[in-house]
Amino acid sequence: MRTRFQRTVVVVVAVALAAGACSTSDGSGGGPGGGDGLQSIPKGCTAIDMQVSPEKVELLTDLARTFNSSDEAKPGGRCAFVRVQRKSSGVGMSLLVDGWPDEATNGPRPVIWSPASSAWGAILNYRLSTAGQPAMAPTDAKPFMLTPLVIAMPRPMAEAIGWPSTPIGFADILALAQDPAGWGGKGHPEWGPFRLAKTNPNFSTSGLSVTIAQYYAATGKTRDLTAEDLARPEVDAFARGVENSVVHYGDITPTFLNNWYRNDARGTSLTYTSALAVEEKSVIDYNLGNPDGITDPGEKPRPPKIPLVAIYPKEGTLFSDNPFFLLDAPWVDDREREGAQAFERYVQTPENQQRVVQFGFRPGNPAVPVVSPIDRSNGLDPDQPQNILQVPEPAVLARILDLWAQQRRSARVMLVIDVSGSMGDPADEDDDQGQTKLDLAKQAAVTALAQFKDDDDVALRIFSTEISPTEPTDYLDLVPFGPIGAQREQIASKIRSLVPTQGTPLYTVAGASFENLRASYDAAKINAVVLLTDGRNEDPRNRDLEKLLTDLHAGNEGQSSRPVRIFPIAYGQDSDLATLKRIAEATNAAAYDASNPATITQVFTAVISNF
Amino acid sequence: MLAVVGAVAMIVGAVVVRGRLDDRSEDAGQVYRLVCAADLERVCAELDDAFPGRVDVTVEGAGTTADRLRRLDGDPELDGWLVNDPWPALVDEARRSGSLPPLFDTQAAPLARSPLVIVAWKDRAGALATTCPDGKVGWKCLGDAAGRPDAKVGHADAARNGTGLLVLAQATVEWFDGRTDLSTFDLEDEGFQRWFAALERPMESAASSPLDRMLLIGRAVYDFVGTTEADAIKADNAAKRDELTKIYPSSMATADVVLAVTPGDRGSRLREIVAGRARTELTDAGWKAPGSAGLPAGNGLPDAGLIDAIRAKAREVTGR
Repeated sequence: MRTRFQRTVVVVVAVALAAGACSTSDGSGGGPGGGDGLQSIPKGCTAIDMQVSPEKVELLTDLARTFNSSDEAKPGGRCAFVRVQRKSSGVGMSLLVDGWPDEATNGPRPVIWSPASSAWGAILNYRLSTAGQPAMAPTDAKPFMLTPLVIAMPRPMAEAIGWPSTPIGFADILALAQDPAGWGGKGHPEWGPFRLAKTNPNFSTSGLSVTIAQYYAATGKTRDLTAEDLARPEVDAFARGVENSVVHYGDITPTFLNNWYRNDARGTSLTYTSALAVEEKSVIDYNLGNPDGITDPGEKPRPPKIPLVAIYPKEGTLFSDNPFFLLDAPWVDDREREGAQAFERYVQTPENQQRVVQFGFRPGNPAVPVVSPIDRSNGLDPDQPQNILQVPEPAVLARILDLWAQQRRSARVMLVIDVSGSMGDPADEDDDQGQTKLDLAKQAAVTALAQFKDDDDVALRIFSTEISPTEPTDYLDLVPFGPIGAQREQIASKIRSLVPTQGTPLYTVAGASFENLRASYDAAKINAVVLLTDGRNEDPRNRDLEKLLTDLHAGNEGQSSRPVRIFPIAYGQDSDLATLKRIAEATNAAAYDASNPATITQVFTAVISNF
Repeated sequence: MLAVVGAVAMIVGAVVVRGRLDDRSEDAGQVYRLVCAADLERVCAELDDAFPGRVDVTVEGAGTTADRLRRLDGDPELDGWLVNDPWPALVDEARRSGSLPPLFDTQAAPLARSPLVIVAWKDRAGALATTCPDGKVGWKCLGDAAGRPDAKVGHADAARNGTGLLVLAQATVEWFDGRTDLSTFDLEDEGFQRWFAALERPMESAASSPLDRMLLIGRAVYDFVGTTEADAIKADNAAKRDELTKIYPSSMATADVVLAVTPGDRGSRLREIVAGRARTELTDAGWKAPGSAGLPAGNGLPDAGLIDAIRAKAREVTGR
């Protein structure tokens, strides 16, 4: 029997692989090599491959560009060429535990790994040691730059709980999140319940940090958190209470920030989310109108109507210290090491550390002052925080991740799978005799079932034109909602027996599934639809995308809404990713790109990380 | 006769020259092994660059090296150790008590020294001073204030770091009113043990230097950090230097860097190659020559055995 810890590890590893192959609708997931094109290496140069957490990819790409053309890139007369790839911290850690497999999908093996926090290095070394392997992350890595974990809140909401004059702590926020009176208890019933947003701690540093902080808040400690503390019944109850107030999880904070920003444009930001644990830098990005911190082509930053402010928890907080881990890995040779050290020296120079500050991080060189944009005009306080929480020992960190898998909010998820005729096409266009797209999707869906916890309610629906002999004819419910612990094998069996049929009534099934979940909404759970489709809407009876989007928006807005998220997976080259993104955004969710059918197992796994 | 003398002189000269050439050719193939304490990292890096192919420099925490060597019955895999005094003596005393031969040559003279200081935020020091005897912040007062949110105290890990242990030794001396002739029995004083535990229990085990963390993260992590005056130059260069102050505790003590070498030719040769350059690099890094004006004659610290006992006590308290 697989233990819970093993299950968590399996999920993390699987998710790690997934994030290497997919990108979310905001484009900030980790694609193959983070979705960034891999630069070619100038002749005679040594490639110094770097995998970095998403929030600093733009900064480091910029620094690598200037380094590569500088004299500093020629240590000992040899040429070093730094290439920066994006990889979320938890994903990078899991890939390294596995020896960084499949470079074609995951990007090149890194010489330098820079997760957001050195805690990931501790977890990496711990997991390697439990597998009988030597440590890979040096324990004396220096921080490249810093940013504290803060609680981001819309300014009026923060003011309603006493900001900026009253010190506010994690315990205050978490108590509010569990108060049945919600914002009504603070004189603002129009804002509805207090909605807490969190990222998945297996992926995201802020998710990991805030989960650690939750446990500290539950114990009243600020250091020396132990595995025994985590096991205490009242601590378990506290953690479950907090998780139950979570809107939904996400692999990375930009998913939430982008959705928050879109809601701000519609005037609904106060009913989307009340508080989100993020790094301080993200508050700056949001307030400058660039919520994910990545300026896409054509994107014009515009400040939001309602800015966020940063609450520095009075109990203390954790810093993301962005270490440069020059890996003790078998694939790193002396020349790569020499080039990496040259780049590390380069980024620590005062002029480059000033660029760090311009990007919203606190400098890793104490000679460089903390100045704008880290200031009060952006909702920040450069003199905060005044206390820090101790990063727990690696074994305790691993236990926290293990426990989170059990304590996280339960989900109620409808799996909606396209069985239109095109799903019978070969997954590999060059291999007519190979597996079909539906074959791969079936395998992926069955694999993903293992990630649900036993009390998650899961249903299975398939769709294609006139698939049902009775009304409604465009979809068919194969397995009704029920705890997956009791029907995992039944769902798997039904999935395995699927065959391709007719066309793709995408809008009809999306709208109907959304309404079905709203009609049977369970306020105690995350209510969501996972919609896998390989095509575009082919239903002559329903071509009205705008009506669908209007209905989805309407169903998710307002303080009394019953939010149902739709997480579409765009599967295969012919899928309509642009439309699926609009559907996802209308429900404050994210779309996932599996245009390469070979990645579907990995993408499915990443989608399930939202629950 | 003159011809004979000339011939003899030529033969002798040839023998001498040949001998020297032999020595050089023997030496040319030798790579000397220097272990360099991690808290001297910048100096270690310079030495590594200065003698490529001749000196193999390994950077390691002093505690790690000491723990490896104190019970080692075989090749120590080093010819010399650049570290704060009295770490080499501490190793050799432990070896003697385990009936193992000492590893290092007789007492080495310090290459450089630096007073131990406390770097503090001015506002925190000002607030704490009002509660300290004579209004002066020192280690005794810091231990008494431990646990206050505005008196977060740091020093490098005394179990692992060359400087951290000396700072803790200085603090101990101050608690005993400046006495350096302490015995391990003195450390059993109940008042001392309470103060020591209060001071050490909150001590972080972070790998990076406490001063670096203080300067980067600010008051959230440390209000007071004990280190060397040489290290404290970082505070002079920090963006927030105007908010910082250096406190010289009443029990003046110094960190002394020594190059302890193994007995025999390899150790001696390593000393010839490295000592001068190490002295220069230490000076560049803010260390002072022994005997410089303003420095005391001795290091102001207890002997190696007592310092080892302090280390053991710190390990008991922190569990590291």
